[in-house]
Amino acid sequence: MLAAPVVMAWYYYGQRSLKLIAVSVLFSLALSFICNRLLRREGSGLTASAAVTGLLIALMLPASCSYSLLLTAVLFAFAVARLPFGNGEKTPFVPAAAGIAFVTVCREASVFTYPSLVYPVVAKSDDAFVAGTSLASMLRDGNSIFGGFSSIIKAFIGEYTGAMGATCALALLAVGVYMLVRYPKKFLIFFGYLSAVILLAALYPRILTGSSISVVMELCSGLVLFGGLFLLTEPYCSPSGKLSSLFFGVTGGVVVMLFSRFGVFEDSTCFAILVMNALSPLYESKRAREATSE
Amino acid sequence: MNIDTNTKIRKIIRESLIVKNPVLVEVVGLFPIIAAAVSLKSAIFISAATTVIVIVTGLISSLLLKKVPRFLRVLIYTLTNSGLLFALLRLFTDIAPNETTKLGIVLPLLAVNSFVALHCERHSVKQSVSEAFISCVSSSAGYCAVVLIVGIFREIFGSGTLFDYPISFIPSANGLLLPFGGFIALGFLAAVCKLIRIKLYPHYEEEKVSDVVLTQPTEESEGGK
Repeated sequence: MLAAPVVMAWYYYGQRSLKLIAVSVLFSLALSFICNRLLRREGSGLTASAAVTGLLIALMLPASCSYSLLLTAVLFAFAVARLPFGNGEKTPFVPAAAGIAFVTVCREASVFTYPSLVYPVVAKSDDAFVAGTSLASMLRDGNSIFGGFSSIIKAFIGEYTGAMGATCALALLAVGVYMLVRYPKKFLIFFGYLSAVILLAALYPRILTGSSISVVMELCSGLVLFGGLFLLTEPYCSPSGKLSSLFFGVTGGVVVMLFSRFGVFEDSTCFAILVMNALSPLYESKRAREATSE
Repeated sequence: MNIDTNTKIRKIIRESLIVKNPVLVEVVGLFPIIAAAVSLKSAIFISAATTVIVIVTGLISSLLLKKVPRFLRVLIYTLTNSGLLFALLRLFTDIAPNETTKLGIVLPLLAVNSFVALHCERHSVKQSVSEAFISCVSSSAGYCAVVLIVGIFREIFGSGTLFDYPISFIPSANGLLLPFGGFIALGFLAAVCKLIRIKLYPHYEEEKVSDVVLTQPTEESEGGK
């Protein structure tokens, strides 16, 4: 499922995005190996979940971010959100969300400075770096895109700058359709989440150009779709029942929209996801909770 | 001192320093560490203030308060702490006015620090003066060690300095200066403390170590209330 965002990141942001992804995944695997040694667990620790953590973190950062920022996020994710919980898949919080939340708090300017898509993408510290305007920053300032069809299509295909893997809403929605076929339970969470986001964006727009543009901009901005697809639906951080999954998704959407509107950061999806991770046991039935604890 | 006394003193020191460390095991007195231990300097001030109030209040409780009812004792601890902190604040302001200002409300709030009240209630009031003194000193040492370690960790990795000297080769993450950085540091320290306890003192049972619930007051402990 993560192949689509990776391809889109490479398409829009070029080789640098692939380098960042590769470094992130390799560093994640190395940390996972070290964690396993520290915990004296069997196996090398070179697991798919470790690689996915690295991949998710890279895709949620701008293509112009420094390697130190990327490695800090990965290090935090492993040291704080994975290692204390056994370095496995069963973690109470999504490690990638924790890593991004941490670097957002520490280096907000670096996390929310995205490269322009018109010029070649280089590191933010480079003199040739040209910053672009993201949809999330436009929404924060109350600015709108043009209301025409071409402008909306541009927003959906990722022509506005943003996090590497999160700008192409069309590709992400296609992943959502794949999720419907392959993982129906996960899709229920995403469906509830998407419904809540669309409803709140339409009812309470942050711009003056109308509800439909507001819905498009909210969906395509920041990590809204990406978070709903890949972070909120993490198996051990979300409920397992059908109805509870749906309600979990709806609450997730409401919390994300509240954070977007009242949060101090341009995009606070990761913080909202972490809050939802903490709330997820409340959505489980007593029987399911007992089964999980066993 | 005979062998029994020595053994008893060693037990008091061992328990209050590591096995029942007030912060890492009993989880008391967290507020100053989480909120204000963001540098070595602030950690030193918090440690100094806490040590003074714990020792003085502990000695007073052991000397004078054994026959006073519990609800009055807690009030007396707070009043004693307030008096001591008033003097300490004046002293700290003279020594380092900037650092004292940075600590803000944290230093005055040490007057109601749960660590002091709990320590006096659990140990000092039931011990002789010498035992209470040793217990207070070792317990303060356990508390101060944690405060200092957290302060050093957060200053190095949060501000990229140590005692205001810049450390250029470590990238700073100023998020660690926020309260969640303090919680994370304490979490890892608690894990290390548990590891040390298991390695050095495996005979201590888990449930006895983390017993932080005050026992029900009895006639004896209430001093004939």
